[in-house]
Amino acid sequence: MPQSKVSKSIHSHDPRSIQLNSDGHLRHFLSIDGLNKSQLEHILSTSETFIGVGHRAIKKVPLLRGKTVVNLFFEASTRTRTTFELAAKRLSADVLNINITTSATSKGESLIDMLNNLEAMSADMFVIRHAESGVAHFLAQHVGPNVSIINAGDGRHEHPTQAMLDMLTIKQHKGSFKQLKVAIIGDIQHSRVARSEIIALNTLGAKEVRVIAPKTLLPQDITSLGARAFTDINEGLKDVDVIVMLRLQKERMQSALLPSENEFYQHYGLQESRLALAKPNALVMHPGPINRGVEISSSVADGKQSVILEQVNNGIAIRMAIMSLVISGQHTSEHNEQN
Amino acid sequence: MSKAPNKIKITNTRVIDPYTNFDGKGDIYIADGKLLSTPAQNNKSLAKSFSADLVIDASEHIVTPSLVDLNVHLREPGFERKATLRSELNAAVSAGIGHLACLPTCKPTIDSPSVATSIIDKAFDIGLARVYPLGALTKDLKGEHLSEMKSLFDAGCPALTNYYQGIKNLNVLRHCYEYAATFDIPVFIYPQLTDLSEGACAHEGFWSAKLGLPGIPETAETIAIATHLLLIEQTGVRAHFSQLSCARSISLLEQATNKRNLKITVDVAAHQLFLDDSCLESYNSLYKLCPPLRSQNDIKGLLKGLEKNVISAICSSHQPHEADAKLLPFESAEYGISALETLLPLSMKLESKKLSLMEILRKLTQNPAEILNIKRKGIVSGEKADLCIFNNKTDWELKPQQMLSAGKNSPFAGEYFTTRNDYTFVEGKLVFARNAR
Repeated sequence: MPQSKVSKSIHSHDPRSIQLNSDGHLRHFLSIDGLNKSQLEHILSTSETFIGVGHRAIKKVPLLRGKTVVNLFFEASTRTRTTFELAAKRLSADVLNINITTSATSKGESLIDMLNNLEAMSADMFVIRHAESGVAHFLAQHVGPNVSIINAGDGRHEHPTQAMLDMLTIKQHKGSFKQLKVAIIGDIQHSRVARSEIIALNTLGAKEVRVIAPKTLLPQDITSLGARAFTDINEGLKDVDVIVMLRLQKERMQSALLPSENEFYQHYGLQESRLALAKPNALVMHPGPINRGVEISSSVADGKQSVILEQVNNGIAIRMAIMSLVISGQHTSEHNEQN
Repeated sequence: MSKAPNKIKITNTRVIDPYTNFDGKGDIYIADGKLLSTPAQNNKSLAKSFSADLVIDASEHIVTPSLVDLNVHLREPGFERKATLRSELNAAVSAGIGHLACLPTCKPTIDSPSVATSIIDKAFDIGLARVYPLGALTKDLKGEHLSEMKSLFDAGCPALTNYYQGIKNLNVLRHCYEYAATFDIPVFIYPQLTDLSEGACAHEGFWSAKLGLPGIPETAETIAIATHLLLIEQTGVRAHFSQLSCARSISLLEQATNKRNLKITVDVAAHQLFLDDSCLESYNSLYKLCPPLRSQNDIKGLLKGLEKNVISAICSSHQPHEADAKLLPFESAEYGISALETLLPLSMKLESKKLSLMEILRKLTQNPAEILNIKRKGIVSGEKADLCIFNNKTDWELKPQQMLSAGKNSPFAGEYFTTRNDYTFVEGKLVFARNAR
């Protein structure tokens, strides 16, 4: 059949290749999907060199001096936006935070026009969070050659910097990913963190990735994404090395996905008795913000095994690493174009 | 074409006429818009005396009745920024489509006889393809009050539909069907349960999970079909199911026709037979469709449905858009592809999938014509010339800038096809000739 050969090349695209330049270096940072093990390891080792910067008297390195980073957040965020801002400032970049509720898109300006305008002001990098899946890819397809896009969370798709900072935290505590069993608990269906983490953990060679949730919060085909699904938290927590709790958004109660916060806490909340089912030194992680008494008890969140605040601190180093890698990826591609 | 040729001879061609089941070679003679001699009924005495104004050498071509398309968004009135009647009818005839049904989703909606009449009249004045407006089943498609169904029918709407604006209140739907059955007015059904599809934009499965796109489950379509089937049985309305996307839907409909003897017809959009949900991988909004692109398994089911004749027609589901409607992130972009110009080329690729040429062309000509109650007898002497003449051994690339539709939104841009229409006759008139351009 003549069709199959031709149409295959036309209708199948490798979307992930747009985040790499012709040398295979990061040029945008859009998704964990499409990056291989050594690329993820390179991000982790680069970030380790930035951890010390925060402890210096002068918390700055000049890697992004003269560069302009625009934080474009179409959704509320405290942690992610501030750590991106801090990361950019520690790299000596000029940082612009755009408050979307007062920006032009609410006046009907299209996303593309808005980006073009900011690009015209010679911005070098956009950090974007948006409620729709695929927005970071969409913008990366439409920006000029000297502009990079960093995905700070797109809809339910990916939150790749969060996944990387979690990988860094796990690596610091566990050394290697090889023998690890990791359980992700909560609203997997609507979670961009879960998607990025499942892919990152599989890529880095974790032994098993589990997701634990009632069926209303599990996507249909989760096993083919590389996770083993459990609906019983007690079974799912058995012998795991790392527990990642996800934030449960209050809207989920209204949309008939769950009966009540109370019932969720009873059946899926991380309490001390359940934590005991995991390995004794299991890490407890949470991307924040925490709903105490909804998905996690205070005693666990503040307990010995919790590394929640370390995650925040690692967020700065990871974001510094990614920004600096992406900027140097921009330069190599410029260099190649000149040649 | 400066002067319309009166006497036309089409030479050495292959005729495939589903109406008469004829497949053979020979010449066609046309005078005053009528077929005088065809390969099926060869009038030998004519050949000597006939002096043609125009001779079309169609030795590389196939002649078949002009195509009938059941699903076209013409955008006029109300959305002229996307397309106009003239632009789309021009695109239609270039693609061999001589007759088409347009959807009532223009602005104002086709819920009054005056809107229907104005579209029919304007299309008639343009004089390219014939337009058959599908009237709205409820006022302004809101699903609350019955439209003036009989008046719409009498004004020239061959069928009525509420398109994808589902009627939530089943009592209203039941009354629509009862009232339509009263006057034997056919209804077109676009099965998709809003409760299960609202806010979603991709087939629920591996790709929606991976890409984080809200998914439309198969049950959005199958539950809707089951509901409609039971109401069709109860009310006796004549029904046509349009644009199926799931394999399971085919088995439901097969059961309904075979075991419960319901007289229903079914169509599918051509692209739904070739593209699956893996196309969404790069969030390319050209693949955002309603119904969504589904799995490979669903494609297999749809192909089987074509083979078993559960699906009797193939349509374009043409939705032309201005560039801005698609220059958006996937979830915000508008639905649909510009599909008139790929209907025949894509459908002809089905020949490699167990369908005979005769059957493919039947699903593009005779079957949809009967659904719209268009009276034609095929390629026989005495009939008006209503034909398309296409080359199926050519090799051409679809380039958006060369599309005649105002909507360039085709995911098939860059694809090579072997079939291309070169001449179209509608009701006796030669309305398109590629070489004359």
